[in-house]
Amino acid sequence: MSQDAQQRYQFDELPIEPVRPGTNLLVAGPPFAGTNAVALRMLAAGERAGDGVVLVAADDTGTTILDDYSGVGGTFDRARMAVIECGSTSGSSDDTNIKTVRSPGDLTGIGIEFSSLYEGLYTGGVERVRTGLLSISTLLMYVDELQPVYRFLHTVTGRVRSADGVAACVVDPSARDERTVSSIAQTFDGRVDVRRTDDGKHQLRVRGLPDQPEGWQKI
Amino acid sequence: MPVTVLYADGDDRTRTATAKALSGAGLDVHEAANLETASETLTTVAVDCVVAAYTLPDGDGLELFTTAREAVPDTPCILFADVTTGQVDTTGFEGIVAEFLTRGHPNAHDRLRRLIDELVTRRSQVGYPLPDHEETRLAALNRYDIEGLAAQEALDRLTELALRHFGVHRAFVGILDEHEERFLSCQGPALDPLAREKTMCTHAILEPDVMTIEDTHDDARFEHNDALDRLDIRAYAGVPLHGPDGAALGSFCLTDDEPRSFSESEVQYLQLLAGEAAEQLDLRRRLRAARGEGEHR
Repeated sequence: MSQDAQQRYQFDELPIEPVRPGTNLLVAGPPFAGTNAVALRMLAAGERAGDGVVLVAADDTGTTILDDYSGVGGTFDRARMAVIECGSTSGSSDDTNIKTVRSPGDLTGIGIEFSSLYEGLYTGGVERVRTGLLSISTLLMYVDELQPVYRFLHTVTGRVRSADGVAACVVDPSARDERTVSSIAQTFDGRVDVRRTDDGKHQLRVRGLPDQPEGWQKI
Repeated sequence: MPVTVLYADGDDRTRTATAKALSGAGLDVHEAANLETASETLTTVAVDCVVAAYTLPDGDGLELFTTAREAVPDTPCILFADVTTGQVDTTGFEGIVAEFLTRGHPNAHDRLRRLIDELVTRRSQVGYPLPDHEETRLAALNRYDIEGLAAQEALDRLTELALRHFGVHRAFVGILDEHEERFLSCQGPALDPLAREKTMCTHAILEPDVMTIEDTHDDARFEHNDALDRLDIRAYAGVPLHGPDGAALGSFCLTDDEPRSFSESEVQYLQLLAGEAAEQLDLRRRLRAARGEGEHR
């Protein structure tokens, strides 16, 4: 195996070919299609390699999303994983690896926690980090202007590129107009569309990246 | 040119040591001991990056970043903090977005310098989508030396034709520089240069052919853009001006002060005008090059 192939981020059983370090992926699909599960599987696929994980949990409490993460085979290993939850109804978590920000609309708060956690993992020797953001749709619900969202997404994706990480950021295209989703997609290197067919099958397709399977693939 | 950094910190010893380390690494550092001085510096110095302690004698770093976002919105901001993230109160600053680096970081000065380089190079805090290959686009734009092209009269004729034909509030040719849009020719109420995050053309150049917006108040990207309301822009049609290598330099645009649609034939007419404007610019670029007034052909 070449050095380049070794360094690429793998996604185990998902029909996504390994991607180069520094790749930011928009994972787009409705919740009922299992979109969040696909993004979480993309993060959990780094378990064997010991990749770090920073997970921004805007849709639900950190604990709930960590349960979902465990459900797809992930392990909350505190030596290499941290979570940012946004507006927990039960107050701040006692877990030092779960940081709480007041609201999904507090992009400054989420941003500085993200920078701090990412930096902490990196300086702690975890040099391969997978970032998850669940979800951009929730962030959009809490802001009026889009400028801060673009700024926040550039901050996250810029960090991932600089640090040779990988990111899977979820958006529900049905929850926003197509023009907004399209302009947000511009921040990413590629897009993973997720859908559930009429007969209940879950599928994905990768767009915008080289050397990926063409068309819809069975998950 | 060295990267210019504004560094605000009320602790003289810390500030001096950090400024010395950054200057030693080749950065042009402007020190400020408080929020007021730092805010003044933003009005007199073109800074590439703002670095601040969280606590300042007369305010805090997030207040400085708010001023920076208003004055120079693309400029990356870094909280070089003497506190933990949990001690930073973001109430009222939710949309600022800044990087965070603790002073307790091993090799903090070296990491700060690298972070500044990364943010400035990658333009990591801009509030708008960037086109693919933005650096190539800017390099192409740079080859035009727009100011020296003497294209004003030709462009004025085209924008006047547009205004007469469409009967809109305004017709203009805008060029998208790294941080703002400049208006080469404008018929209708005048336009001053506008920060890119406030412009519609920043979105129009992402489109292959045309972007039409019937009502800015009915589009999530623009409905809260106060600059558009101030400029009486409710409807928009913009066609990218492509150079010979395909890079979008700016756009040929129409705006109206009331919502309106643009028919297919109107869009086609606008595309003709845009094509002519792009060709006028490119012909003049080639002419200057042939005369030896520029390096590029």
